[in-house]
This record gives sequence, structure tokens and C-alpha cells, in this order.
Amino acid sequence: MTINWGGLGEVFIVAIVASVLFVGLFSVGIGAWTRRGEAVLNNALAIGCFVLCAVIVGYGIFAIAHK
Amino acid sequence: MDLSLLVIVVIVTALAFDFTNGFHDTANAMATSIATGALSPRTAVGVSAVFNLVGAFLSVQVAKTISSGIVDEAKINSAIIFGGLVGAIVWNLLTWLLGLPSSSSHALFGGLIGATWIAAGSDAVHFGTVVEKVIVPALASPIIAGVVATAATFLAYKLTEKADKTERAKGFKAGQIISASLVSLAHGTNDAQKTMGVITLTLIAAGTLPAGANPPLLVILGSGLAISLGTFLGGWRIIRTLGKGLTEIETPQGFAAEASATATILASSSVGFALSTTHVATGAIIGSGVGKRLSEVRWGVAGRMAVAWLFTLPAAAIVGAIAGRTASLGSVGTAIVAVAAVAIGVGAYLLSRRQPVSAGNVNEMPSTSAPATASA
Repeated sequence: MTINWGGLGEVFIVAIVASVLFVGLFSVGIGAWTRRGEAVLNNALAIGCFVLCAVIVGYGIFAIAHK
Repeated sequence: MDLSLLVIVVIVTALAFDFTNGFHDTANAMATSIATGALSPRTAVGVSAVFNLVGAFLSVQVAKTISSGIVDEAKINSAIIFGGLVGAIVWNLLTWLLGLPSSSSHALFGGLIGATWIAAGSDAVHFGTVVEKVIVPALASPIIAGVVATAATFLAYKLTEKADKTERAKGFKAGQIISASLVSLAHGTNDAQKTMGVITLTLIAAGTLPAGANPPLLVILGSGLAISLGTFLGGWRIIRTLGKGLTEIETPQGFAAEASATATILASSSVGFALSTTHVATGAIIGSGVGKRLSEVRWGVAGRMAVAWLFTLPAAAIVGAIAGRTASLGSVGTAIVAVAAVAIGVGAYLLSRRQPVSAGNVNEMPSTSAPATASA
């Protein structure tokens, strides 16, 4: 019996980095979107965040299909 | 094509297991979206069913082993697989009746372990592998997903604290549709594979397919349809427990929980450290309760789930052992097990009608003051 502690640690690190990045970007996007009337920059920031989120989702689907 | 009665019975039973797997696990993907109103209950199960079906076709990786090395596959036969499947189905139905999420993989492993142990002796069960592939991940996955979701939820609230609350809720609601769909897709690629693997290996063992064959299209289609039909019917009892029983969920929490669950499932499957979708999703929902300030997690409900997880493998093993032993007696034995399994299924359905949970009342907890009763 061998317990794959390294694999377990790897899962944790990948999962937390990916989640924090994705949720963080989306949250910044939402925050900026709710203030979109105040400055053009907010609008651009929101759209930029959502595009990056879409890229992460795309990678997620790719990872699901190719695992 | 010459299929014996037992082989046909095994295939039908595998599809039945796949079906229970579907409605048992709808909650993993959709519970928080239904609870927050991001998707209406009917739409949610429909979306989940479609993504489960797509997922069944999407993954190129095929389950080459039924048991992941937990039992000696050289020593198992159709009767043992049949017994194992019956054990898994019975446990899935029982936990559904109690509204408890539990791992369908654990139920399948448990059923196979019990059936193999009785039919081929304890030597045929690799207990070291059981600890490595079942016990350790079961302990680790809710903790990993819980910590990840706690961090993600905390961040989601922190970064949007200045935002207008109604606008924020709307934004995360939209996000939840995407995150919930991803959980469903990941689930479909995982769980439909299990049934395909069981059916394919049964056909190989019967000599219908050559060794090492990939599942025929009909098997992929059948497994995908069975799991998505189960998903579409909706395991409303479990959806209610996960969506409403553990903690009050707002859209940022639901989004963070689903995103964390997807990331954890994907990370685990790419590293090759298989985690149960159920354990991950439940851990993520609890984490989303911990990560939001002043929100309350009902640890009593979480404790009941933990107990169910603890019993899943041994309980399915006992049923699997009895069913496998009886089925090994020949056609009469197989018929007895099949009739008993159908009777238990009908019984569970009739019992569920006493306190029906449906798309209409899934978001209403019967009584929050008495969470100890298994009324959900």
C-alpha cells in the first residue's frame, strides 16, 4: 500500500490556484461591471476579466475532453 | 451474437445502476444553482442531462478496469458483477430515500468487494488498494474541495463588497449557469464511463467482444442515455439536502462552490488521483458556507452525510455478497436476485411517495428545527 501524498498535494495546489484565479477574475469583472457607468475603464476591465474567464472555461472543456 | 441470460441480466442491471447514478448525482452539479434560482429546477436537470450525455461521448478514455484494481479481476465472473451492481443499486436507492448524497463509485466498489470476497475468497480483494484508492481519497476530497471553496468564496465577497448587491447577485447568477454546466460535463465524462467499462468487460468475458476492445457505439449510447435519463428525472431529495440543508446559499457562494468543484475534479483526474464527484461537491458547498462571513453551516446535516459515506462501502458490500452468492447458484438464483432487486426498487419508490420531493417543492425545507429526522 502506498499513499500518493505528492499527487494529493498536487491536486490541492492546482485546484486552489485555478479556482482562486477563475473566481477572482470573475469577481473583479462583476465589481467593475456594476460600476460600468462611472468610467470607460471599468467597462474595459470587466470585459477583459470575462474574456479571460472564458479562456479558462475553454481550457477546462479541453481538459475534460482530453483527460 | 450469442448472449447468455446472465450476460443480458448484467447489462440491464448495469444500465439500471447508471440510471440511479444519474439521479443520485444531479445534486452535485445543480443543487446550488437550483437553491439560488440561477436555474429553474426543470431547466437545471434538463441542462445537466444534456451535458451528461455529451460528456459520455466526449471523453476518449475508457474505463479499462471495472474495479481499479480493488479486486482481482481474473477471479470475477458475470454473477459477481451482477451481485456487485445489485449491492450498489440498493444502497443508492436507500440513500436517495434518506436524501443523502453518497458516492456511487463507493457503492459500486463496495458491491464488487462483497460479491468477490464471498465468491472467490478474501485473497481476491486487495485491501491495500482499497485504503489507497477509496478510503484516503474519501477523507481527503471533502477537505480539499472545502478549503478551495472557502478561499474562493471569501475572495468573491471581498472583491465585490463595494458592488451593488442586486447587480452582483445577477452577475453571479449568470456565472452559475456556466459553472454548473461544467460540473455536469465533468460528471458525464467520469460516471458514464464506469457503466461502459462494466458492460464492455462483461461482453469481453462472454466472448462477444475481443479482449481489449473499446465499447461499441451502442454501449456508449446506452450508458449515456441511462445516466442522462436518471439525471433528468432529478434526485430532488438529494438536491434539497445539498442546496438547502447544509447552508443558505447566495449566488456568489454557488458560483464559487461550483467553480471549486470543477477545478478539483479536473485537477484530480489529470493527476490520476481519482476523487468522488459527490465528496468534492459536498465539500465545496460546505466550504462556501465557511467562506462567507456570518453564514451558518449545519454541521449536523454534514455529520449525517459523513456517516452515510462511512457506511456506503460496507453496506453495499453486504448486499453485494448476498446477491453475488445467490446469483452464483445459477439461473434460479439470478432470477431470485433480480426479482428482489426490482421489489426493493418499487418499495423505495412507494416509500418516497409518502413525502414526495419534486421540482415544485425542492427549495422548501420541511422543518429547519428538526434536521435530525430523515425527512428530506
